[in-house]
Amino acid sequence: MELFVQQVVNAISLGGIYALLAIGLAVVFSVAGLINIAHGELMTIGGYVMLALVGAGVPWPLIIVGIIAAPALAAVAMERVAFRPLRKSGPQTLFLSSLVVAIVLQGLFQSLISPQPQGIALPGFLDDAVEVGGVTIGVAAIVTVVVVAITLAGLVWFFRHTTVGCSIRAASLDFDMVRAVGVRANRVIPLAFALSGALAGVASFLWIAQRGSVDPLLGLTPVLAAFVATAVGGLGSTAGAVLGGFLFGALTVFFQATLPDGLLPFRDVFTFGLVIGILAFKPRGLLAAATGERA
Amino acid sequence: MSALLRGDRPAQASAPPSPSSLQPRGAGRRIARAALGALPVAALLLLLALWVEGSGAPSDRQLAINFLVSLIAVVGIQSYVGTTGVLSFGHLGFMAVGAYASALVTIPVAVRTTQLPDLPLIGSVELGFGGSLLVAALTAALVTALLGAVFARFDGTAAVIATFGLLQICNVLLYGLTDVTGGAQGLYGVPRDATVVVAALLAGGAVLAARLLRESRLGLKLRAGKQDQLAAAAMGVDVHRTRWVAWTVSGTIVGVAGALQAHSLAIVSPSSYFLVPTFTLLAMLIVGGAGTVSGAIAGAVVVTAATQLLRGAEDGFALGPLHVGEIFGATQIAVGLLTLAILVLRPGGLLPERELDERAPGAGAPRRWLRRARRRGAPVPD
Amino acid sequence: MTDQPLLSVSDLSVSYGPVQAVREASLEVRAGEIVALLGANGAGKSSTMWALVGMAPRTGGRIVLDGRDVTGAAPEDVVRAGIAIVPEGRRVFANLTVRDNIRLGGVARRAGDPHGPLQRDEVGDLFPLLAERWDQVAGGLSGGQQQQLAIARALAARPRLVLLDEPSLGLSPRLVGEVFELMAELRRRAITLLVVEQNVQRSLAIADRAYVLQGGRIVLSGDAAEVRDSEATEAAFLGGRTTTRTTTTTTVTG
Repeated sequence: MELFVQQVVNAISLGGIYALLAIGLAVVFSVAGLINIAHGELMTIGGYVMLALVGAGVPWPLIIVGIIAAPALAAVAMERVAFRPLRKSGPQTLFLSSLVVAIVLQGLFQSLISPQPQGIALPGFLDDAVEVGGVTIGVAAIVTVVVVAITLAGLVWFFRHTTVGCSIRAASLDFDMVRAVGVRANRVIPLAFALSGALAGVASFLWIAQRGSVDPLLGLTPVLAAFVATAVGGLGSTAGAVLGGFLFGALTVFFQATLPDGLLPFRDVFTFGLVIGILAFKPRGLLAAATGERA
Repeated sequence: MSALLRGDRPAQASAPPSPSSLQPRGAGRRIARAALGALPVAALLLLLALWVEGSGAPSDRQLAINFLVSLIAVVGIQSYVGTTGVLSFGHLGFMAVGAYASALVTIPVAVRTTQLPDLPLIGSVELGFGGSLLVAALTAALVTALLGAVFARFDGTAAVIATFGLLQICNVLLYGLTDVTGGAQGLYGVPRDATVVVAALLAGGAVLAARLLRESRLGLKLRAGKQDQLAAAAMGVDVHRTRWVAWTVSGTIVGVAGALQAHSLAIVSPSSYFLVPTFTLLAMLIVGGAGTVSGAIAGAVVVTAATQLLRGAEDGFALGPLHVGEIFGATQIAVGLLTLAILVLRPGGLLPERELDERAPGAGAPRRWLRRARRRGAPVPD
Repeated sequence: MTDQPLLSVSDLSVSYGPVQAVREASLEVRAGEIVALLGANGAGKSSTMWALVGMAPRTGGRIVLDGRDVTGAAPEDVVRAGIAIVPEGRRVFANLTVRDNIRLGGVARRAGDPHGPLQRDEVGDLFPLLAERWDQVAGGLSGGQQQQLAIARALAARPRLVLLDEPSLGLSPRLVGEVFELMAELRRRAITLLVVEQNVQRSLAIADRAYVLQGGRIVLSGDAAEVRDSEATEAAFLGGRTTTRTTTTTTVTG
């Protein structure tokens, strides 16, 4: 029973991180028609900012502001440099452009910082564990679940009650019509990128809180998972992104817990394989936007 | 569908393909057309290879083989991506299949048993280079054919994500199947059998195969499906089946590139078949133009040249009184910026849509051939 | 009516790559009018509408709204200048509530408009059902209700001119009647309309003036009654019975 509860907490915390990343991808896809592989590098930027600020002895509240603000700004810059000039191109060209951005940034991290992982001194309490109703649970996992819950609640409010939030949701179905009612593309697109960057920053903090180091490829693995999660949920659908993120997190923890030791290294083969299988039958995802893929 | 993969600028992309490029021709004429396009390239490669083999330093030979490996791989990828308009990020997996398969059957038995004591199936088999190329091609063909049943069905964004997942799965397997792949260390002791001349011959073969695929009846169906999937299906083209065949041919060519690479570097390691090499090969395809075999070749030439020019920077250089230290990833960054520039400024790549030998004024050979064919009374389109 | 038209379009051309959809079309809409834009399928009506809001590739011509040149302006600026579009097929935001559809419609409210955001009771005044379903998702509304919502969304921008593209398309005969009644009601409220319609007779019955497009050109213009009685109208819908007709512009009124 205890093990089961722990696994559920693990699944929720891992799935929550994937969900935050997947929402970021979905939001950008809605307004820009782009699946942004360089989303992972936004996470990595958050990680390096955390490294620098912790190293400089900045107080934690400011560090957290930095972790969220820096990737948000980087995302806006990315949009300006690599995607706005290609706005009239198709999704595959945009995707290739984002791959270029990812590779260039990885190269920069390697040459300007280090190809090696850099340890980050985290507050000691993150390593602790507490007993909740007779079950021992790691503090880092609890922090993750709480932060994810707060962030998701904030996002629900944002999407329901702000004009920008409504524009982004509407854009997932019909961005041209969103423009035709007079929403400024050059405002809503950078805002969507900023939001995706901020979410990547939160995810980066949570990811590092459980691992304690940052390296040039930090963002790659979680974003690949989030990628597949958005695809399964339905590209551009934020609800689908949350569903896909938690589904992928749960699958990962499930395989981690149930696969025999000999097969454990192949956990990702099972998760990715299963998800590709779902895609083969439902290429537009489980909660696909009604109008389908944008050309 | 993206302008890039249609190999043209958006405004012109909706124009129908010129009748001469899509009209069915007799089998012999199609083969001749492919050969006319491929043979000059093959001859040029062979001449260069002979020259490098004869008078180049060992490092030049290595460079030449690396270039030819990239060329074969890019041409292989082009024969799927360029003919179908569907992106694939999974092809480096097939390069790995070719590399590992050919390495496993050629590493001397004594070396192999110390590396991989628990290697199943192969036993004491030890083949020569030629045999290992065959093994690599067959294994890659088998693997791609099986995977193609699922992956050749994907289109657009789903294809991007699914093949990315495939790349990830492949990476996990290369690291995880330690009994067969040697895990993170990879395999060593592969005989260095690849010579520049052999590499050039294989490259010529790959170009010919890609051109034959493009000019064949199947290639015409593929290009029809790329222009308009529904219309092609309405005309009786089984789009999925034709794509499956292209996927398999393409994966096999890429597998041969992997085998060649293994026999030139003498080692095989999993990091050679993940994200950065995938990017490099796709960069070549984008720069040259995904729509044509000529474009793939041009891209391999341009990116290899650019990389070579920048190698100096990676080793560190003196800038006036300043010594700039080693810059990791400098070529990666530069190739990235080059690719981005092409995506923005010339989305079809350097040679979009029409092969070099199909381009009007300079296209002497095919035109002469067509004139001769007409004189013989064949109904040849303009 | 004032001397200066509310909307004045001269020599408008629209091309999609090699396909020219609109050729040097000129038209005027005066404040308070209903003007019908008629023509067979593919005559260039929708392209004209989208070009007016800056969303179709315009290759030539000028668009002036109330003395202000909006040629080449971005859609967001055209809407703010006072033109709102109700597109063919309605295109409501199906995953948003009625309230949020109208909220987005009001994003680009005309600068200097004294009325403020469109309120629920104002919507209820024209469309009682929409006010009732204020917090329901638009995708769940019937076709007729979605058409009402698309119009309400356009009105939320407090426009001076509303472009209605095929508002009755796909609706049952009873609902078609409602749509035309609604147009009359909008005119009573001093909202100027430029309407594209397949339903020629009913459009001409309600419109003040009409233009007929054929092959991307305006082949006829004039008072609604005169256009109704002209042979050229019939020709335009039968698809160019005579080739000379397509090149002659018959101006019935000056």
